[in-house]
Order: sequence, then structure tokens, then C-alpha cells
Amino acid sequence: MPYNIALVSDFFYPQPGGVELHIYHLAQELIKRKHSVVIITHGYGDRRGVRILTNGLKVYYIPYGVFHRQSTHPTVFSAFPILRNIFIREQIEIVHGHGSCSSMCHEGLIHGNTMGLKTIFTDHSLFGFADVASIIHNKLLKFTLKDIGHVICVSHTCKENTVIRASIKPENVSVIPNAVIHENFQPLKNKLSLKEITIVVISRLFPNKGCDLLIAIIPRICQNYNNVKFLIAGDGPKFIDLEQMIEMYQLQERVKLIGSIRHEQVRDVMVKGQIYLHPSLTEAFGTVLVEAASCGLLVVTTNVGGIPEVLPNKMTVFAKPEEDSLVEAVNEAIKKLQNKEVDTSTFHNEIIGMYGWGDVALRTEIVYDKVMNQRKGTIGDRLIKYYNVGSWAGILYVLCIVVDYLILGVLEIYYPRGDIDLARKWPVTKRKN
Amino acid sequence: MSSSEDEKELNINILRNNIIRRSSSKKESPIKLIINTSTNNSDDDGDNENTSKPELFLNCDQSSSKVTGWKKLLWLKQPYPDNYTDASFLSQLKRNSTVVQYSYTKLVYDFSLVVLHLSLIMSVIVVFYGIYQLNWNPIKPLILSTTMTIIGFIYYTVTLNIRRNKELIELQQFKIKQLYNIPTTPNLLLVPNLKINESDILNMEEYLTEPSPPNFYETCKSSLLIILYILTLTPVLKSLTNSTSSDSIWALSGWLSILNILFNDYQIEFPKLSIKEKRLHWQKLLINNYQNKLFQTPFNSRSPSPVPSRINSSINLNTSNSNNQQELKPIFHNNIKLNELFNQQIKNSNISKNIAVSNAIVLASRLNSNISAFSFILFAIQLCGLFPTFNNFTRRCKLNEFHLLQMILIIVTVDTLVCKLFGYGWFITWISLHFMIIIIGPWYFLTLQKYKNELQGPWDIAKPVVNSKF
Repeated sequence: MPYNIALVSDFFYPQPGGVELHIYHLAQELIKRKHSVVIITHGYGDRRGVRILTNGLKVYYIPYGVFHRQSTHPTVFSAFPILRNIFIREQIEIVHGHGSCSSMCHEGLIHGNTMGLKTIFTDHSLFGFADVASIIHNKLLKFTLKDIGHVICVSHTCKENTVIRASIKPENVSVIPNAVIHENFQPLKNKLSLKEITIVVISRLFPNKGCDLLIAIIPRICQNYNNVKFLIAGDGPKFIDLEQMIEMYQLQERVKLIGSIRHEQVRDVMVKGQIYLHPSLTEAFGTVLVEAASCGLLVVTTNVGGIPEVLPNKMTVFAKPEEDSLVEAVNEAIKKLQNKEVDTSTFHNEIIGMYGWGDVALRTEIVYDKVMNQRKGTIGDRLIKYYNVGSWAGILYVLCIVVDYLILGVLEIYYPRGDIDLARKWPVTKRKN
Repeated sequence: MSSSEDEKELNINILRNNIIRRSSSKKESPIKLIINTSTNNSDDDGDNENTSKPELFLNCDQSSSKVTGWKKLLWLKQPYPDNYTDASFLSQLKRNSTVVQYSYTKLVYDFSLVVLHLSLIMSVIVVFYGIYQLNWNPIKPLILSTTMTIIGFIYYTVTLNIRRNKELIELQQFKIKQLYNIPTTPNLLLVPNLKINESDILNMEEYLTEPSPPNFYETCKSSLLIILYILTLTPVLKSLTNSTSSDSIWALSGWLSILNILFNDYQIEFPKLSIKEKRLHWQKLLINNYQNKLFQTPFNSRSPSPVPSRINSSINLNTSNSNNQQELKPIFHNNIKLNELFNQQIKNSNISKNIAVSNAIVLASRLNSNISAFSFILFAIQLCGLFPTFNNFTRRCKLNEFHLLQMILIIVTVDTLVCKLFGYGWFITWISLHFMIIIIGPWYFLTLQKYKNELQGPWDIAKPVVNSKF
């Protein structure tokens, strides 16, 4: 049975990124499965209002002030009127928020609950528990997820993290990984020769992506092998350090920095090499690893976060996030390639069997079915649930919820439900396959 | 964890998943078969031990529980619903792993440093009160403190010299031993004609971990310079706050004292290398030194500017054969502690000393004569600036009795002065403050420990271990 679904998140195109990709492809696959999907996000520059993308995917760009790193200001209530309007206009049944850093997602879930809609949340990132930002974040997440229908995480590690952060039942959390579009990540038809081995790195050059490790190991590897080159794509604060390293060791011939690239170019860069190196220090899923394997590269990666779950052992060489361990892993990978111990040409077809957006949509649909069969509690139940969170936080949360209901009441008086036009649904076309 | 209803739901979901997947994708069949066999096998095993391993870092394939056959993998299609929670769930969670068990006596000892610092600040205030209110002769405290400073400085220099020379002898002995061992031990290079140059011996100074003693003449010169500066600036400092009322000065001074207490760097732990660690450190350096001379790789000779030897050496390790590498491996892991030791000088913060000096200047501006202002400022600098350094030195060198003696002397002196000058009311308040900090402070700290709830797991950002630094 097709549902009317709203995917709510601050992160969507034109901004590039993993969450954006996930939302878009999930929406496309859900549309293919005859659901009606709208995406609600904030305006990017002059991109405001309603846009309609491929297959009638409607995107609402709400004009809204951006607060920090493309997420809107956390105001708890301010987006309620417009969200209510959109929910009613599109006859939404399921509100599906993405990304715990997105305050619009949080608002969508809270107000969706208040309006009696079913809610689902997808977590894409990992958080610690020690620093101030994480503590505030986790409190906020606890508030939003107290009354959630179901939570989806992108990896098992992410699930463990979210269960603790939001203190929810693990039964209410499903693990549905990201996926890749296989057609966009084809390996080269004729394999590169192994005379010269190129190691590809595609990553934003931030400290938490392990750039210090990268800078430390490049000279050592270059010294070990005369026929190894590096190709590094991405930009960030560590770019200068990389350049310094290159100058210090005079590796201009061997290490190539090509700056940031668009997602469409990723494949073209990847197929220039035989090994993909991923020195990241934290990662919830690591879609780029799947992309690299799909392009037929042998993956050398640190075993942090959810990375060990992503690829089978034969496609990867794991290392600890330490300089020596990484150098050893790269040595091992080069040896494996030279001795022809691994056949990277089969990787692409194997990845097709492992990850696909169709599969993701199917599994998400199962979650939707489950949520639709849930019974919504009364206001009283909801308030009691929130009150039990904590002595002070509980009172604060209850206050927020009560105010939310009051606002809903006021909105019903001033903008009655009946006055809002219903949007016509995009005509359902028959699936070709 | 799961009631019968939940189990039913699970079963339904498993069925459903299977049906949907079968209909949706055709290419899965080989993988699926593998799963089936693996689950069958595990069922046959039948033993109920839970083999969820706490550290599943390198080989994730092993992180399956034998009972169910579920694996913590995303790429594998498994016959479980997506919200399946295995028994191994959260097995990697570590709680309170960095928590230390504190002992009450150790805490009392540590907290006593706060009292010591408090007493130092109080002694400055007491001396000020004496000069300002009771017309003390300002020269007397200055002479006392200066004598103590000079004696302390001589003691400091001599002790450091002795310790450093001792270490140098130890190093020489170690080096000789290593050189003897060259033919027998493979790890110290298979060197046919190793020559020891003059430069090798000179370089030895770099290997020492003990801090070098201050240069006597340099110190005399700079201290004389500072004294002359203060002497010339005293008239200016004296009239600095003429237009301000005394009350605001007292308030300002009070705030500065509080900030001083808060920002002081109460050094409790001094990283100390054991003899074994020291030897490993030396061994590594020695090996690197020889390697630098023997393996002049094109890599090094090409570099335009002389690269710091530490960077060069750690890279150079790779040029040697793999056998050598393995021998050297454990040495790297001591690096963190070593770095800590070398960075110690930088880490010490001087904020509290700066605040102490500003407090002295602010107070001195209330005094009547130039000579009293001058001697008061100098006294304060000696007490709040130099004495903590000296005290840290005694604690680093493990001269615990000496440290205790200093502490008792200072605290008792200040207490008596407080009693004599301010009366019994203030004295009792002051003593009870001591009591609060030394007795009740550690107790409260210990009671708070039970609320500690640290959660660590694979989601935390990993700390990279990098050997060569830029």
C-alpha cells in the first residue's frame, strides 16, 4: 500500500554529501515503488520555494536562516506553521527525518508527532559522549526520539551509538546501510598495468579524516617503493600541510593533489589507481569505500567506527589508526596486487549483490509498514513518557510539548485544516522493468 | 529481553524479508547459500557459549555469536530482520575505562598543594599589611627572601648538575655496552667498519632526559636587569593608582588573588621514565645516529634544507631490513611519554605568575615610599614567581621530605602571622579553610567519583599514532 512520505532534513542538494545522496536516491526508489514522496529542506541561497525533480519528486525549499554548517537555527517551534501546512497539503502520513545535526529534521519529527503522524528517523553519524557539543546534541536527540516510531541507522556501530545516545530500545532501531549506484562506479574495461601503482585518496582534508596519518605515511611509502604514486582529491584545512610535506620531501612527481572534485567525477579519479587508501579516524558507514571497491580498487582502511562491517575481508586490508600499522597495510596491499593474490575485477559484480538502493528502499518500506501498524498513544501517554526522561529535563520537555499542542490549537483556529488546498499527486507511471 | 510476542513478530519479519528478497533480486543466490550452510553448522555445534569477542578490531568476521550465526556485517545478507539485536550488541562498549582509583592519602597530599599556594598568596598580603598598616621595615622581609632565593638557586643548580652528570655516565656505559655487543646482536646493525667520530660524543648531550641546569652568569645578568628595571619603574608604579580609591584597589587585589588560585598550574604528576624505557630511547637514538651516517639515501641527500634529525631518523628506520624493523617496533610506543617529557617545559602555564606580579604592582601602588614599593614587589616576585618553580623542582626530583619541610615552614609561618596581625577570628577562619581543603575536599572528590559514567566504544574518534612530526 503506497504511503505519502515526507523526508525532512536540512541537508539536500545543491549541497553535496552523503546524507543528501541518501535522501535523493531513497526518494527515487520509493517513488518507483509507487509511494508519494516530498522532500522538505531549507532554502539554499536563492533556491527557495518548490522544485520538482526527476519522476515528480517534489522538494520544498523553505526560506529559513542558516545557523551553522548548513543547518537551521534550533528554534523548536518556529517552523511549525509551514511544516503543518506542507504536511496537510501533501496529506503526509509518515514523516521521515534524516541526520541528527539537522534541526529541521528534529522539528519535523516533534511537530509530526504532535499532529499525530507516524515518525521515522535515520541517523547517519557517530557521536561521542565526552565533549560539550555531543552532550547537548545527545540531550536534543533524546527529546526528539522519545516518541519516535522507528529509528534507522546506517551501520551496526551506528545503532549501538544511537541506542545509547538517545536511550531507546534496540528493537526499535533497524540497520539499513547506504548504497551506491553501480552504473556510476564501473571499473575500467582494461586493467591498469602494475608497473606503476597509484594509490587514490578521496576525502575532505580534515583532521578527523586522518590527514595527519596520511601526511606521515606518504613519505615512508614513497621511500619504500619507487613505482608508487599518490592521487589525492579533496580540499580542507589540511591541504597546506600536505603541500608542505610534498615540498619537504620533494615528492612533486609522485604525489598529486587535485583539490575538491564533484561526486560525478569520483569514479573517473578512482579508476586511475589500483589501491584506495582511507585513513579516516571515525566513520559511520563510509560509502566511499563501497564506491572504491565497486570501481575495482583494493581498499586499505583504518578499522574505526562502522568500517569493519562494510566490506568483506578479501576486498580490504585493515589497519589500526597508527602510522606503522597503515604503512604495513599498504605494503601488504601492494604485495597482494603484485603477487596477484586478489582479483579486483570481480569486485564490481560482488558489490552489486551487496548494496543497492532498491534493496534500501525495500527494507525502508518494511519499516514504514511496521510504523503504520503502530498505535499512537494519547497526549497523556506522550507527556508521561517525556516527564520520565529526567528530573529537570523531563519538566522542560513536557513544557515544550504542551506549548507545541497549544500552537497546534492556535494554528487550527487561524489557518483551519479545511482552508488548505490539497496538492495533486504526480501521476503514477508504470515501472518499466 | 524479548517476550513471546516480540519473538512472533521477529519470526514474521524473517519470513517476510526472505520472501521479499527472493522476489526482488536474483543475483543473491550464492551468498544466500553460504549463509544457510553457516547457520546450519552453527546450529549443529549447539554449545551455548557466547563468543562475542570484546575486541573485534582486526578480524570482523569472527565477531559472530555461535548460537545464532548472526554476524555484525552489512555486506552479508542475513536471514534476520533489520531490527534484530544480537546478544553481542554493545559488547564493545567500555565503561569508565580511564577512571583511576584514588587513594585518600594521595588526594590529601595533592590537595595540600592548594593550601601551599594559598599560603604563598596570603604571605604577600600579610607582608603588605605589615608595611602599609604597621610600618614594618620593608627591607627585612626582602633580605630574608633574597637570602633564601640565593641559597635555593645554588642548591637547584648543584642538584641538577649532579643528576645530569649521573645520567651522562649511565649513558656512556650503555653506549659502550652496545658497541661491544654489535657483532653478537643483529639488531644493532651489521656494520663492518663503524667509526665513532667526535661528533658522536658531543651529540650525547641531546640524548639526556634530565633538564639542563641554568647558566650561572646568564641568570645573574637577567636577574640584575630585572631588579634594575623594577628600581627605575618604582616611582611610576607607586603613583600608578593615585586617582583610584583604596577600596577599589582592595577589591581588585582580591579578585586577582582568586584568579591566581584558580589559574595556578598545580603540577601533580611528573612524567618519569623508568630505566628500561630510558635505555630503549637511547638505543633507538643510537641506532638512528649510525644509520644516518651509513645509509645516506638519495631521499635525504636531496632534501634542500637540513631536516631536523628526529624526523630523518624515524623515516630512516624503514631503509633497514625488515628484521631490523621488527626489533625496533616496541620502541615507538614509548614515544608519547617521551614527548610529554620534552614538552613539559612548554606545558607549564605562567598565567598565575603573571597575575601574582600584577597583584603585587597593584598593592605596591598604595605604599608610601619608593623603597617600600620596590622591596615589596621584589618580595612578591620571589615568593609567588620563583618559589613555585623551586617547589616543583623538589617534587620532580622526589625530594619529598624537603618538600614537606618547605610546606610546613611556610604554612606555619603564615598561620602565626595571620593569628598575630589579624586576630583570632580571622585565624580560625583561615585554619578552617585549610581544614576544608585538605580534609573535606578530597572526601567530597571521592564521593563524586560514583557518579562517573564514561562511555567509550568504536564510535569514538580514534586517536592517531604518528611517529614523525612536522
